[in-house]
Amino acid sequence: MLIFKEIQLLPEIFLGISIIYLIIHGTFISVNNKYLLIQNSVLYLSVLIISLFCFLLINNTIECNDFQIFNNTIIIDYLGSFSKILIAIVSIFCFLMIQRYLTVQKINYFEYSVLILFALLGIFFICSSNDLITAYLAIELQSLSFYIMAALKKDSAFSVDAGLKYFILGAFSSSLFLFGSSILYGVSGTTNFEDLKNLFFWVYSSYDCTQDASDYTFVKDVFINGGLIQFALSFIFVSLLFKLAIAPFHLWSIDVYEGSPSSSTFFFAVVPKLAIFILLVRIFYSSFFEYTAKWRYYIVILAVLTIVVGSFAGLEQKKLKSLLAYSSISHMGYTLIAFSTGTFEGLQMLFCYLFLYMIAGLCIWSIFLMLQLKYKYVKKQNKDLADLSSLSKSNNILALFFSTVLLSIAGLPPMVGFLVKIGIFLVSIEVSMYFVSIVSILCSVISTFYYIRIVKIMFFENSTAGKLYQPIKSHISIVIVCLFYFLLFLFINPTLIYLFSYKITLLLTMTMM
Amino acid sequence: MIVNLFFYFFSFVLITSSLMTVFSQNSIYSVLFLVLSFVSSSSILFLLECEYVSLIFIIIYVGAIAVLFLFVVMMLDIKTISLVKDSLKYFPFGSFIGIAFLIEILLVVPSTFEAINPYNISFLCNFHLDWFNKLDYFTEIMSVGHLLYTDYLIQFLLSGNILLLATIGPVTLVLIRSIKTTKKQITFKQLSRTYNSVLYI
Amino acid sequence: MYLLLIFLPLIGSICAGLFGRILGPFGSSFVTVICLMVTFCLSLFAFYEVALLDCCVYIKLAPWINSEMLNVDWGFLFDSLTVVMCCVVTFVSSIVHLYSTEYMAYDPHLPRFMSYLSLFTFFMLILVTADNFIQMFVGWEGVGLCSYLLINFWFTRIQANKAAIKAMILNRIGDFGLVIGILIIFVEYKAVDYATVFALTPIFTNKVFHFLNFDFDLISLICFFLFIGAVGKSAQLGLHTWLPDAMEGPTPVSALIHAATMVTAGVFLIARTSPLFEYTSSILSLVTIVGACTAFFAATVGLLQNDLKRVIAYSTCSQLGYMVFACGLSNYSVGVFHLVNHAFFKALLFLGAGSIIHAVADEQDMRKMGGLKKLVPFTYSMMVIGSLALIGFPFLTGFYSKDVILEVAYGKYTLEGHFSYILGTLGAFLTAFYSTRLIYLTFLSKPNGYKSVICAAYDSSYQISASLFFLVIPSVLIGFYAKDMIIGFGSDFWGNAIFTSIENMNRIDSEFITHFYKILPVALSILGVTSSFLLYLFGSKILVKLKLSTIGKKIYNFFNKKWFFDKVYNEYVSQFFFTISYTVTYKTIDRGIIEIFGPMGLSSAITKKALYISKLQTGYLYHYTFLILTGLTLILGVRQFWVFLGDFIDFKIFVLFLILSFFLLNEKPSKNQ
Repeated sequence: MLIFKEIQLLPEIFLGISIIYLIIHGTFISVNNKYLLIQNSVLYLSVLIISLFCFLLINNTIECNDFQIFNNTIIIDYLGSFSKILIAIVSIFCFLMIQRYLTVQKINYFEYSVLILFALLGIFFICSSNDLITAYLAIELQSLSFYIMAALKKDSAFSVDAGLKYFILGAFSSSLFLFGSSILYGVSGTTNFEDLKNLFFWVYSSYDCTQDASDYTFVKDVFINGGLIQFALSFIFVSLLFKLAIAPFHLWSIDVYEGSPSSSTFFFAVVPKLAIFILLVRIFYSSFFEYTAKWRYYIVILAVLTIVVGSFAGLEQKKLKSLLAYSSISHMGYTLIAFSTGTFEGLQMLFCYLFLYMIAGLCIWSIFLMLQLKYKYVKKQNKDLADLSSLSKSNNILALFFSTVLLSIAGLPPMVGFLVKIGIFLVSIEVSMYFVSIVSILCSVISTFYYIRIVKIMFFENSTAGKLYQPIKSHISIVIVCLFYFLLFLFINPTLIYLFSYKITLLLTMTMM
Repeated sequence: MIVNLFFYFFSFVLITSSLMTVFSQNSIYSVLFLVLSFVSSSSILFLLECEYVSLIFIIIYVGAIAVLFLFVVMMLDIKTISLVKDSLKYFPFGSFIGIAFLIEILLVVPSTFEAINPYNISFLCNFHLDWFNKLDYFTEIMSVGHLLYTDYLIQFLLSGNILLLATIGPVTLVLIRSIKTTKKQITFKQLSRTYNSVLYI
Repeated sequence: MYLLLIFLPLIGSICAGLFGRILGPFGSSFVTVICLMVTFCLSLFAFYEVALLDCCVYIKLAPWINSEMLNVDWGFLFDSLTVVMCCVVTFVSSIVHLYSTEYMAYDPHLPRFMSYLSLFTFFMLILVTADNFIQMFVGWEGVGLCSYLLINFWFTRIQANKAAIKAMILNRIGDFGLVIGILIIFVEYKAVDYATVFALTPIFTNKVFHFLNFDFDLISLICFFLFIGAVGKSAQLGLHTWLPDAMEGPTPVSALIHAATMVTAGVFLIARTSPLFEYTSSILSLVTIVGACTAFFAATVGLLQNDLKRVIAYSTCSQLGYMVFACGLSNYSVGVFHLVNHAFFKALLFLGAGSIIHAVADEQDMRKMGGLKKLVPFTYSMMVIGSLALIGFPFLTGFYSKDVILEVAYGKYTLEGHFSYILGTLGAFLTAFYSTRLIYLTFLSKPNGYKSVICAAYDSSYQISASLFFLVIPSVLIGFYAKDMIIGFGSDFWGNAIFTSIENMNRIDSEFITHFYKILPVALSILGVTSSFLLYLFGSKILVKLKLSTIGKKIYNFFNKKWFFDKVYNEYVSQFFFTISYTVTYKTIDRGIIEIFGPMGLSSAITKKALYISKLQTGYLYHYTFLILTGLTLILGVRQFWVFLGDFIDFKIFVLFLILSFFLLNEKPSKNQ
């Protein structure tokens, strides 16, 4: 009974309006009541908003068809909806987890939740953007709130430093994106993915049919050799890879992850990667699939470089947060390998890996935020690895969970992380990238070392003075246990993750045709 | 003809002033060169008959941002230091990267556009008269408005959101709620700066 | 029924082994003995059906390994050879079970012992009933394992441990050969079941197997390695040293495993793979020569051993030599016939020896016995019958098979045939000599033991006596009654189980050899008995003098020390391997090369790299920006590069470059520091 199909965007519109209401509500209450601390209530309101958003999204039943709305600049399809639901659920968990941390760290601004909501709005728009302008604006919305979230712990010089670095480098990468988009617009006269796809797909195939090539010099120069288009695409690529912290562009991420408050790092690490990858898929698989052979090579090289950097540099880290940052870098490398295969299975494994990465990341960072030392915690927000020593004695179950999740993301065989990782290696072998898979497997072995070192510190390191941790609230512990069991469930029944990713990929390739 | 000459003139000014922005040792001069580059680029836009965008460019960048920059630069306690030694150290590799970048662009761009423009040998290459526009007159601001409120509605809303965020964010960052904040201007220190220790103009 | 035949011993073994504590010694013995008895009855029935009624039974149970290349099934093949072996194995085994219930009655681990025995029987049945090489190998290894367990049954004794390990290792050498043989079969035939392999063999004659640029005759190579397996298991010359040492195990074990059944597995293997052996005359000659040498060698060594069981063990070794060279002369049926006969009388001898040992308080040295004739008359009579059967006294069991073996050896009219005839005949003489010596020293001479021991000597009780009695019957009769059936002219007893090519068939020739050569072995045997008896009865002084003379001492030492085989093996072969494995494989390779290029070197290199990479993390904004710009330029540059050199460049080069750069950058940090 939809009269106009723009109603499909209702969830995002609802989210945007709710944010504005939330700001008004927060401002009035906090200013009128002598700066009343309404941090927690706003946080729970945000959870409510996201849940309602989720509900609206699920209500929008789209199965096999996709809608292009708002002058074809927004696409509503299964990939976008599923990812949005996943991101929304993950962010609900994030909200629940960071609440305690914020209280302890005295980040008493209700704007924090609002900022996260803004970021989420941006991420949702990235997921469903079908146009370079929309994508740019959405990325900006997301990044801008991330910059502020990174710098929000004002009494910490590290946090301010992180925010500043993030801001400047992020602005730099956005400028690259804009530059690439403008060249693309200059060459093709459109910014719409759909138009680009039609243009390049048909031009390419029609060119092959023509006999007389002299009439088509323009076509040949612009589209077949595609010099300028590739030039533009490289810029867009670099800016998006910057957001994903791929190897030569990864340096910001360590500083930012380490400096910003852990709650923000949690968000940076877990939530936005999927959305960026969706954008990459939309640009490079839907619109410019004809150019796959031309960008594949350097993407592969970057992926290997990323894995190498992520695995090697992680060995030298003494801080848990930067170690996890390097771990996330190397994971992005694996996903990039799957991305660079350019095959159906590659895409499927890409989504599989990303879903699992999000869930495992959620587990790890939640546990990370749980580990609050009883003494001196407020001053020292960044944990040494040694702080984890004999965690198994003070909180055995938590140590068990932590080590299980670590082993899972390390890709040890009886875990679900192993299944998706081996899937990535398999798809890379299927397209004859033997060297790449060998190097990445070796690096995976190396990176296993630092995961296992954490486990060793937790279980076998005897410290003279045991660290005492704050007790964990019961409802939070229930959430953690749920997450953990979900991970275990995925191990027992990985079909769930395979099926969803298969469906997504299938529908995506259907629409690509 | 005249238009083309102007175009080349402003382009030259634009490039020179951007280079000077980077190379000049004094921040104030840098900002002033930046203003110059803004002005020249808006003039180019004017030549290309994008009146609205060029005017907006001047209003926003020159009128607001550059002034803000100037204020900030003058308020901050930046010591002037000679960067000659450092830049000499970085010069070879930096210039190599820059030249490589330039060559890459120069290799790509001409190869794409040289074949299509029938006037590219002529000096009149940038002169293009659209008779349709002359007959059915439609100002740029009108067309921008039409587009913004119809086709690009959602993008417009998004930019609105970004602006809202851009106001909330800085406010959140600088709002003094707790007593303990690190970055705080000390008025006495600000006023007691001597001429020697400040940037020279 | 056929499956029950195979799996009943396993059931018994499981009952006794896993539930031995619940069942108790009596219960577990009862269960296993009953199981074995039933198995024996079943195998008799199988014998009737398969061998007498000529109905081969072939059971495909289940697929085991089912890849596209290799298909192995659990299948059971019952033909004449199998059922003969089944009957022998189950008969001797059930007798030994019965015997053990008394012999081991005072051992606290009786259930375990019975369980091992039954398990052994099960594996032996698997070995003989298998329809492919792999399953046969399962049984082969299973009996080896059980042999190890049973030799080592009294694991607190260091000698038993040593003997068990020795048996295991020497058997490993043989098994290694067997495995290689099976692998070559698989590589060339792409199948491992008997039917396919044997059917294809005639096609594969003169086929060449390439290995390391050497060309080998395929079937010869296969047979050579299979024969090595047989040598290991059947204790032929070279790998025989484990068998005498294996006598450290309990006596029933020696009777069952190291006399009657397991050691004959090698002979069984040769008989089973006769369709292969028949196509390679060179290996057949090798088999003949090795068998003959073993027969002679073991007989000479047995001459001067003092341990009761060792004498019998060497006699086993010698008899195995006879069987093997019978097989080598292409008279597999004769070899198997001797196997059957030997199983009965050798089991009898061993069990009798066990009874003696029981009687004289676990004393095994013959020099400390003597005069037991009056004390243990029943055992004495049994031992005498067993020895006579072994010697080949006319009309006892051994006579029928051993004489035929020697006849066919002579009737071959080839070099190796005559060689084996001469050695075999001498061996027969020596066999008679040492058997008589054994009887004399144990029973007839004056008592040499301690008074208390001699006084307490007694004849054994019901189970042992019954076992001995049951064994005596076939020891006396089976040769006569089964002769015509098994090795008689024109007997179709073997059906397709054993294949002899026409040119190798010489049974008729052997009937027409000169009468002198026919009669010679028996005459020599009787001469041996007489001379030994007389020499020990009247000439013991001469013997002592002979022993104490310089040459005599040396000869005595030479034989008593088993031709110094053990000494040579220990001091030269194993020392050599110990040295090599310590200095080369352990010190140089394991702790040297692999360590440096492996874990240690790699980990130190990796940590260095890690340090270098994490040093990129300077914290300066412009470094980061610079790196981003550099990366971007490189990406664009690579793209431009592609236009010119795209055809020549493979992305693998970049990956290699990446890896190489890691090792090159190794120097930098050290320079800076």
